[in-house]
Amino acid sequence: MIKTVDVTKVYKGGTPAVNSISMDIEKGEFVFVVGPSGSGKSTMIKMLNKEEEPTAGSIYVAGKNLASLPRWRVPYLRRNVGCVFQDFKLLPNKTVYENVGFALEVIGRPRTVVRRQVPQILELVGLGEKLDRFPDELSGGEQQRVSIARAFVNRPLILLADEPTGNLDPATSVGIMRLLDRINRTGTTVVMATHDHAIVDSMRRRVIELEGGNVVRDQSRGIYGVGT
Amino acid sequence: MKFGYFLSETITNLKRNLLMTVAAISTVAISLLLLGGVQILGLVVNNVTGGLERKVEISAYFRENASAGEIEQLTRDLGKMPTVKDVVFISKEEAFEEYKEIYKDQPEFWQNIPEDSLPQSLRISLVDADFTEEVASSIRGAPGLDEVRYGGQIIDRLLQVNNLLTVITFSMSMILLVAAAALIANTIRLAIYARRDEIGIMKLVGATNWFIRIPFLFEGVFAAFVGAIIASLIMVGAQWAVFKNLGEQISFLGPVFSFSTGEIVTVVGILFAVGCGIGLVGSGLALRRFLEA
Repeated sequence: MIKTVDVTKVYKGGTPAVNSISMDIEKGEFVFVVGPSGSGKSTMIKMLNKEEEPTAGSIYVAGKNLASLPRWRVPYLRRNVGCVFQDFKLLPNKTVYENVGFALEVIGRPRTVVRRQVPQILELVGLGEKLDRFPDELSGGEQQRVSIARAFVNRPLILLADEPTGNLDPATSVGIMRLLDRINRTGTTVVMATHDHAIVDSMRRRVIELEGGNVVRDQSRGIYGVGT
Repeated sequence: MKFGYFLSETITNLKRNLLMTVAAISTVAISLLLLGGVQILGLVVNNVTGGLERKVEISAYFRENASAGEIEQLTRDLGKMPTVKDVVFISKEEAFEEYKEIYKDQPEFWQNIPEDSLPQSLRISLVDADFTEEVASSIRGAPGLDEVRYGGQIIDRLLQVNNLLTVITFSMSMILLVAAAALIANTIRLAIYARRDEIGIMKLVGATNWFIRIPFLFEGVFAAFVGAIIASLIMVGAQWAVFKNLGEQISFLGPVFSFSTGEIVTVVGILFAVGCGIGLVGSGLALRRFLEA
């Protein structure tokens, strides 16, 4: 589903943020990318939906070589790659329903589809009762659930999550992880960057550890690790 | 459904930057009004010089001793010139009759002169007033010919004034059009800035670039379109309220302010076309600079 070959990313005038990383992620896998701040996790995630371009190496997502993907095809790639962030990125002037519906509307889905799918997905993330609330009326965990609903409403093949629990307390984080796990069980490939030890250790999934832009460990059913 | 989405987005954007939108719309209106003014001026000058040009003729006066052969020769030569529309021979008698007609209220001008005291002449009308000088100098000095006269200077001066006025008004309207495009671009820039979060999310979830751009393009064209409507209303209103009355009051000057419906429609059509063009250019500029993937 995701394959990178010797991917290197160098930002202007700096040392490589990502240094010759090769990895292979199967369809339906749940993968943690761990490592300290600045280890290249976010850069790696951003390259997977072509927000950033690698300086060298090739990336294949859902069978497509991103380097040869023309710019006008990028939106169609992103419809298959949902994204969740630490800061939720919700639109404050739209309700929960509108925030999720927006994601469908702007890719040209008919209104009837929006009306059917949005309540469904919000039910799935446990916000079926809060369709008409605005983001600032919700707790952090609830906001993250909205953002996951938005990323998943279009049923993407892949869900990328960059520190999705970074702003949440441990108890709320557990709820978010249950939700991501549930999404993973529907066959969606989940790649999650995090530095939350407790979560990684409790989930026991594949762990790819980065340090200074290099892969220092790739372990199935791993834990966060002792060294860090 | 998609059209509905674009329309509601456009209106929301315009409302959000009301002041900027108003500024852009009025600049478009003013610049288009000037552009319309240039065209009206052109029509007016055409009406004026058109009247004069039709009256423009070259008069070629013969010497007392000019032979019938010389007169005939010159008439034939002139007839061959492509720029000459018509040549009419005026005999001494005809000349005297015309003279009498012009000064019929002052008989003392003609009562005491012999009827054959005026020279015979050729009255040459041209295809276009621009050729006056050329034709006049080409026949000057022809055998038997005494003097060549025409009303060229007035026409030249009028055309010069017209050219000058046209250049000034046209360049002013061009400058204002550039300003209008810049204002529209700025309006769109503000709209893009106000919605940068939404745009970010649209890109993230896979909205196509055109889907993101179209509401902004609409917005620019819409603002320019409203400007064109205002300018056209003012133009048509002015035609109806001012030019018509004025034209009637100075009707002795000829049909200076009378424009055909076709002419007005053309002017208004050009205003709309230019207006929408400006809208597209303005928003296109903003999109290029501020909305690249």
